[in-house]
Amino acid sequence: MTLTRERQAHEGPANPELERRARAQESWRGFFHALPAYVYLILFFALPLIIVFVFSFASRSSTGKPRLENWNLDGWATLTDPLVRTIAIRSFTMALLNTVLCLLIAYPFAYWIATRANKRTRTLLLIAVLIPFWSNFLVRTYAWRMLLDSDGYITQFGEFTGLWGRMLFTLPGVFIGLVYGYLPFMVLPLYAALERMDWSLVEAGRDLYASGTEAFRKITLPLSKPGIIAGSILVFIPSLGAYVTPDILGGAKTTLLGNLIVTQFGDARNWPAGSALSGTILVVMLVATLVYFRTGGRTV
Amino acid sequence: MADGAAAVSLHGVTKQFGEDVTAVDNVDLEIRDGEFFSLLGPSGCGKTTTLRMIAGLEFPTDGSVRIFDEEMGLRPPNKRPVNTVFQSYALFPHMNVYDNIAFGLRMKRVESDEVLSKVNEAIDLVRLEGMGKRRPNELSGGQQQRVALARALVNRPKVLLLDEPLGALDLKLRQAMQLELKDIQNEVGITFIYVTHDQEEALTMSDRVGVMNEGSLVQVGGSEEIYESPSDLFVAGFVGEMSFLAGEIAEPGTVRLSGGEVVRARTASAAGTKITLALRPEMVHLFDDRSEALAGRNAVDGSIARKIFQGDSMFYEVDIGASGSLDVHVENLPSMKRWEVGDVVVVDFHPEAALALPL
Amino acid sequence: MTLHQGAAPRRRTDRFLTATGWMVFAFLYLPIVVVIVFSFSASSSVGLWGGFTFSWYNRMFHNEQLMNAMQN
Repeated sequence: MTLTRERQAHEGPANPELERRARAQESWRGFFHALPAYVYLILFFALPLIIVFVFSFASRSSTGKPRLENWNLDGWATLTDPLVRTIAIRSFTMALLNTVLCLLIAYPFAYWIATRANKRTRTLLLIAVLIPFWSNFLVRTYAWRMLLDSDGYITQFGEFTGLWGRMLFTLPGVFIGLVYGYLPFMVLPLYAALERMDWSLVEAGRDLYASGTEAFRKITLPLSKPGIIAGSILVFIPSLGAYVTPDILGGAKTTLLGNLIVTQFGDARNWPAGSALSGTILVVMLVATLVYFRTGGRTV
Repeated sequence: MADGAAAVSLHGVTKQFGEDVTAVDNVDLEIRDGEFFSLLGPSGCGKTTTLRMIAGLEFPTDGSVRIFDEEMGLRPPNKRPVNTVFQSYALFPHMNVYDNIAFGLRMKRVESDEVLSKVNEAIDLVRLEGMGKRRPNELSGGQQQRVALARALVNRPKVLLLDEPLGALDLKLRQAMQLELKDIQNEVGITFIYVTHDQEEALTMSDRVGVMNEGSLVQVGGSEEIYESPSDLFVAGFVGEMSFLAGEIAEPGTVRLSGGEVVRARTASAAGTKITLALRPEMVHLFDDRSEALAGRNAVDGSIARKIFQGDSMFYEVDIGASGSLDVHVENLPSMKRWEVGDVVVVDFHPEAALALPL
Repeated sequence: MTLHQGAAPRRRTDRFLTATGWMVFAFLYLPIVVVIVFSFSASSSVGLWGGFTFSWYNRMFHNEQLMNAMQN
């Protein structure tokens, strides 16, 4: 196959028909290589999405399972409920705040790792960041619950120094848990962007009379923007649906989008409404991901 | 032109990385104001590190760096009156040409109308009119190089440091840029410190050249001096083409080659010293027999071992027996005879052209 | 591109960065370490250390439900 092609490169297509068949064969091979991925995506991604979408137009039944008759827009009507809007805004704000906090903590941290001279040190530090996240999510969250409780160590320390009291079932407590859970998603893209940076640009900036801070603001920061965007989206989107951490650390006093959807499929026995809500959030997430690929996905 | 004042002076400057690597070893150097000075040497000789220590991008482990008689010490690069043109240009990819050039001025808080006029002046100087809005990735290599130059020059630094700026350009463009750089330096009058491994480049552009090898400054002098009177074997071999013959000094002014021939040469050491005789190929002439050879010069018998046509000249490798072989460079003028491999010839050279260099 | 001395953080900034680095690591490992340490504590509350013991591990290994779940 290769020999034929090499010869053709020198003499021009000796046999156009042969060439056409070779090219067709190549694209068929490509298709078959991708087939398993296509099947997987269709079965586990497209199909569930379609099911959810279909269910959102179905009608409720007493058992909760949707009746595939009497198609209506009742499920979608719940979206207009002012309560839903309040909950959505609450989830949105929480996700936004989580993203901002993660960014503020992750950036200096990622910068620190990226500026360690020894490559092995950097790799070790990165692995060290990931290890806590190989442990079970619930265990980690309950550990925080214990730490933030009245007799927990954090509370004891806070009372001793006079800085804070019991943080369990308070908003700061919830955010400690949230930031804890999502920090690596912000650290890794930031680190990737900073690691890839051309540091001679910073040297050029210093040579051109910029102080360390100015060089950071005008050169490093703008060039790490793709990392900031990527990290923000990787934290923000999943945060929209987060509800377990707020439940465990916040005392299940507030309802978020996640809780809302779960109850629709459970206690409220309103699958169409649940489907409509899930569908909407999925669309929002898909759009945001598209935005990511258009802007944050590449370097300058 | 140079008026004698020292723009940059290095005293005992040493740079060590860790325990084992001495990149720059005890360099003493004075570069005059308004001079075009080149630091020449092979890769890893320490010339770039030396330049970076003047810029403030590295700090010496020992020794002092003074710019216009001001001790620099640990002063960071943004506090030094020098600017650098980097080998990779280091243009800011997220800014256009105008903003790149304006960067230094803006960092110095220059008024925006003054920035406008100065940047445009710089753009004209490097002949990039109309390119202001372009991004670096939309420019050719030569254009990027000129932006890097303008970005540094616009600040009118007291000293401009250039780190192999022409390395990435193709030959013709490089030669054109060499002339342009020289013109610009004459026009602007700033001291240029130019780092390169290309000896031809250094010799053509500079007022003076400093040759470095393995961290040490080996010889400093004008282009002619470096070329015609290299101080040691390394400089002789690195700059231009050279033939080397082993021998020892018979008496001052005379050298006995390993094959026994006695020739007159420039010597600087005592009799009996083992030396290497260095001869430039263009200083050696070929004749058919001794009677044609010029009086007062050395004549050695040999035969043509190899011949290479080089367009404007012929290159001959002449085997002179036990002493070794000599490279000869003959211009292809109409009157010049062309020899063939195997021809018996007489090699002739002036004693002043032969350097007896200690091992 | 390698980080030469010219672009590396200045001493004071570097100290600040290293401090935040270690603080973040402390934050990340705090719950993990606490869980591990208190799995050896005899007291059932996490505020007080109750003396070293393997009793919790003992109970876990004897709990049929848990062992089945783990095997699964």
